[in-house]
Amino acid sequence: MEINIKNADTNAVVEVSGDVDMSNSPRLREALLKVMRDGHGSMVVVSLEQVEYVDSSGIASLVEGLQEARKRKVSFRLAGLNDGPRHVLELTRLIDVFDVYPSQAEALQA
Amino acid sequence: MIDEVEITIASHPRWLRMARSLVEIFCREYQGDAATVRAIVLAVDESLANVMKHAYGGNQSRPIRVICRCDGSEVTIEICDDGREFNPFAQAVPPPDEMRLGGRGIFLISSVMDECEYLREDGWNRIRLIKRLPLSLAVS
Repeated sequence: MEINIKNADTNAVVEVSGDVDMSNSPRLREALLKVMRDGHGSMVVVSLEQVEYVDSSGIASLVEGLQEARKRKVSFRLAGLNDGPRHVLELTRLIDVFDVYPSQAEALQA
Repeated sequence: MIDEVEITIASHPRWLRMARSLVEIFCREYQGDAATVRAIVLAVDESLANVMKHAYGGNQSRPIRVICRCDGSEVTIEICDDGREFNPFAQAVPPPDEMRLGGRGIFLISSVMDECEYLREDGWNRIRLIKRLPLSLAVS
């Protein structure tokens, strides 16, 4: 899994690529919390367009990011869900808890 | 005819990806349905993660056997470890809760598989996950 963080004045984009599982989900969690701590703008977009697989530990990292964002009144958005991650979010009934956008560009524009 | 493939991995999370790949390749031999293959792979990954965390308590050098079997009508995956006795399906599975950070793995396994069994035999935990093939795809 690779994580690329792009900070702008009003938002931060966390681009994730590769599978997210127990071996690397703590890194995703740390990245999301760091973005929030560093306080770049009022929006964090997690781009998952290059992610085909997320397990429950990855979902937990996203939930923790969402919780931290709510505390800080930051808009936390998921973008570009492929079938695998979408299916896991649907099974865990979290798909409606997150703000989900078809693409990174649409998440930033909305 | 029964086809069977078995690998043994160490209980280190870095081997999860290899185990997922094996299971995916095996299931694709019988399944054209990507959603079903994805479901089986998810259940195996979550089961392996449970073994690493709970049966082996984070010890990353213990053996886990993964056995994939298909008899033409169903795919069976067995996951075996000689860690401490741990029956994942004996745990209460609370409904999904957005505020909870962990504990979704067993819910996911139970949600996507047709049958989930646990046995303790000769000091080994044995998890058996069964997914029946759609009739149109079942092979003789």
